[in-house]
Amino acid sequence: MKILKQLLMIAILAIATTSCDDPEGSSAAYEYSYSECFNYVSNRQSGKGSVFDDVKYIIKFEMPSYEASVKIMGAKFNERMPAIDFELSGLKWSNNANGVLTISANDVVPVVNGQAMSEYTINQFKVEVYDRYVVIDGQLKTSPVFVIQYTIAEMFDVTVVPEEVLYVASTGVLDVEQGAPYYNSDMLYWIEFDAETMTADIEINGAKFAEGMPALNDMEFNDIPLTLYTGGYSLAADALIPTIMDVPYPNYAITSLSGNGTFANGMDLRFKCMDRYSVNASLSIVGTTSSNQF
Amino acid sequence: MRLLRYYILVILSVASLCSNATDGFVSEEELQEITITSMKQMRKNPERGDGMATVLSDSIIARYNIASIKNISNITPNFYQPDYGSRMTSTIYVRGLGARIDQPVVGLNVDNVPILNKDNYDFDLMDISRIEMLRGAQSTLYGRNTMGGLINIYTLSPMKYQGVRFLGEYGNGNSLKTGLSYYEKFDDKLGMSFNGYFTMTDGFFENINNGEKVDTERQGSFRWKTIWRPSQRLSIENVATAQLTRQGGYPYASVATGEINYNDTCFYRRTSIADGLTMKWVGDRFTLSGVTSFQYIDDNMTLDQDFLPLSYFTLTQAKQEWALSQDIVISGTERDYSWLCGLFGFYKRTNMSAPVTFKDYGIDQLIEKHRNDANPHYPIAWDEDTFVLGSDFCMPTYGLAFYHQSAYRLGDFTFTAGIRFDYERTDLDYHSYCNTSYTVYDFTDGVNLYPYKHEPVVIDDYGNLDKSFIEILPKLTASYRLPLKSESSIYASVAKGYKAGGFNTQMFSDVLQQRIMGMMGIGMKYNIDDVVGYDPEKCWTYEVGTHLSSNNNSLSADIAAFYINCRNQQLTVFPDGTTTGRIMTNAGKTRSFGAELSLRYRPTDRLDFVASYGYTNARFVEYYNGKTDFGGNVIPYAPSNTLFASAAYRHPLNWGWIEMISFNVNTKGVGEIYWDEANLVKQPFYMQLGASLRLEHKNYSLDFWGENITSTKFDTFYFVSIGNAFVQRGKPCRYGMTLRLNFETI
Repeated sequence: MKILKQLLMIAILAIATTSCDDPEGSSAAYEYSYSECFNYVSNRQSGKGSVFDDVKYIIKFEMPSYEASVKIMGAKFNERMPAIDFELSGLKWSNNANGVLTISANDVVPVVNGQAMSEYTINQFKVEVYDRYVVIDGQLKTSPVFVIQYTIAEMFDVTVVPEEVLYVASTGVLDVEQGAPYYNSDMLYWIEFDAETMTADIEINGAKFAEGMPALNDMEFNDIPLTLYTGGYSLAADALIPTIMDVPYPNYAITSLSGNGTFANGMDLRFKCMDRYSVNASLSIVGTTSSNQF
Repeated sequence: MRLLRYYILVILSVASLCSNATDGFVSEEELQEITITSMKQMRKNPERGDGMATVLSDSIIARYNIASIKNISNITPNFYQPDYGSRMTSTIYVRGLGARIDQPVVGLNVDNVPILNKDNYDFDLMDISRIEMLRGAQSTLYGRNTMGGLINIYTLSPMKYQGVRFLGEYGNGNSLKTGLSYYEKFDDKLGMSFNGYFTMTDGFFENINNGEKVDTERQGSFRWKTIWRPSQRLSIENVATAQLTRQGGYPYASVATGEINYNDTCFYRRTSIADGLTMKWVGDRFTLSGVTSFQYIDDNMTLDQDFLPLSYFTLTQAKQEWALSQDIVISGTERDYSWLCGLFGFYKRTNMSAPVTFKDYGIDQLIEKHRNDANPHYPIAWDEDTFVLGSDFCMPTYGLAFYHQSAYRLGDFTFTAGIRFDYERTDLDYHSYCNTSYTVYDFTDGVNLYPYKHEPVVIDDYGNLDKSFIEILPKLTASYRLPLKSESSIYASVAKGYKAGGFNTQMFSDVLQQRIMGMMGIGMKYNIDDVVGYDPEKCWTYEVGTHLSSNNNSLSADIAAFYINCRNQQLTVFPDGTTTGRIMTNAGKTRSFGAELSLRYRPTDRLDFVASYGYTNARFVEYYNGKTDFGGNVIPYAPSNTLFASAAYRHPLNWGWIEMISFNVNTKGVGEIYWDEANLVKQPFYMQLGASLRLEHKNYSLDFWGENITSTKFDTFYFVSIGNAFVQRGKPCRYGMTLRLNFETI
């Protein structure tokens, strides 16, 4: 998504609880539909990991009961299995200290086509919804982040991988020629995960690696080999040519790129630019620096 | 006519409420001339008021050949209007306050009509009868853009003079002025005057690129003034004017070469029409006055923006502006207490088109080179030799204000307090557009260029911005009449002034340039409101002074000291994190202190000595432009000293055809002036010598005059454009003769 052109303002909306003293006892429900994702399934028995897309999650939070329900549509855990729609209900949700909507449940029996399917009991079911707002092209838009992870029948560990996620970052750059450090907390990082090619694209908005350097818009690192594992991922590339506006920039050649991260927290990204600027970026869903308005 | 009847109906309705006559605020004699100052000042003579003012009479105006406010520069202490660029770029600096862009710090009224646009401040007038320069914050009574002062110009009244006047002047530079006026008083109630004026000059500065003079000018104006007094209590004045200006302008010389040398056309043309209707009704207990004005301006400024013999880019700024204003003042005096209340409103609408045309060299140096330095392996080439960055604007602005002032006389003391509630709203509807393209080439083999990608550059943005301001503008003064036979006093005052906020449309070209660079992946993208919008600038002026006169009025002195505190200074800065582009912002604090002295000595009716001196120490208190901290530096473009001295001698001759001969020698000095915030470049203090010889008869006068007789070399303006420094030199020695014919009917 190459549409971010303005300063990113991210805020977590803490859903206000309806007053328990409301004489009318009015209720509300917040529903999220999440389809821009795919499942990474790790088989504990074989140790192999597989990717399944065409999956959709519908998550509903109800107030004032604090009950939640989740529909997993098109779920598959192995190639032989048909896609199944799961329904999980009667879950409990809460706001954590940062205002993140959280569902945490153990041993939930899903309902499939109206029937409880204990053979698909979901163990350690965890959902976190970051209800973020971002400013894109001067307009305030929602940009929620979903962190979903669960285990099926103590056999299949499922990590929901977003097709793309926006991170804020604290970026430190060391100019190896001059030895002077430079810090930048304004750069934004889009990561796109491609299930078919098992590669990732990184798009850096406002790329700037030195004080006197003009900020570059939308510097992209494309087709970085991606390794997924339960709960996280890693990226690695010995060398690549970044592009800006789809034009290669060989003089900004990137080397020794590596990234390790979890979908729940973020990623530590390292690379070298022009064989001179050593970049170390700490990416996160929610920043802590004042410039990012958290 | 319907409007006139409405006015009369309103006034008569009010009159019916009046009780027995008492001393009015303005006597019947004052009905001879309705002035904005007499409507709003507590004294008839602003030079003896509770502030510092310079009043130039018609004899002084004729002596120094004053035809515009630019000519009073330096004569009035701490008042400086440099002569550079064109008649649109006129900037006034008073006591360290000034503005090169957008809103002015000094207001201007001509025959009571407020000139709402600074671009229209510079024009010539014939038959000026009086000029008043009020210094210090005048915002309480006069509102927006008067935080440095106020200039009132009054032209000759047909109720004071009747007859025919002719002006013919010729000087070097093939400079010609001619004018013809006719004044008629039909009866005690009705008078009219008609005035036509034309000036031209071939200029003094040559552009070596084409061998032609650049500062040529043709200017013409017409004025029709009507004064009608239907009764002893009611006076109505209407002044209608039309002006045409056609000017070459912009004689900017490169500092590096000393030459004026640019290849694209520069000019300024302006057509303006104005009408002002002033009405005054003097009742038994109060006076009701009103000024209604209409103004229309149609002008076009076109520049070779780089001022080089290279084709970088050109700029055009063409606008049409309509403005209406209405000021209503009611005032009265009861024994020792005088008061006034006023209501002011205005509406102004400006339509502007400001395209920037990038030419081949500019595309190469400012866009392609910048981009290709970042990526020599995939260079770009623009598909056209020129393209246009277009910007169209519509800016409606309106405001409403209510003001009040009370003055109480306690013995020899007078205490005055005033307040103004001022609301203003300004909108900006913009349309930015561009339709061009470039091609990216693959040059990875270092030998051949292969087309890699074709990229259109299309911008078609519409938007709307608006700002509203509410200002409360108080004023307090105290004056004490000294126990002398003459009219002498001392005073102290504190007043708040402000300069209106708004939108600097000239910044749009920066925005669009950054937008294009951003479309190529380089550069910061701006929020337009952050870049072009700015809030009001506010100041507090503290002043003490004295007006002294000798008993026989042969010697008079005006002395003042002032301190000005400015907040939210309107400045251009570089936004955070980038080394390119600029934005408008309220980023600074400044302070200014100084003193002024004006002396006049007339030991006999033949000798007249005038001297004035102004000192200003104006510095930034805070100003960080995103790259450099200029706190403590001198404010650029405002002079720290102004000096004027004049000696005149008149000797009667009874030669029949010459009745009087007059000599005048004068000198004007100004400086030092810093040209940049870093205080690295400056114009030192300089002086110009002037002189004149006048042969006078009751029906004519013939002046032989010279200005800058010793051809002092100085610069009036300095700026940097795309890394190149330019100056405008001061005009060389000028000389000529002026014939005035005056056939006054008895």
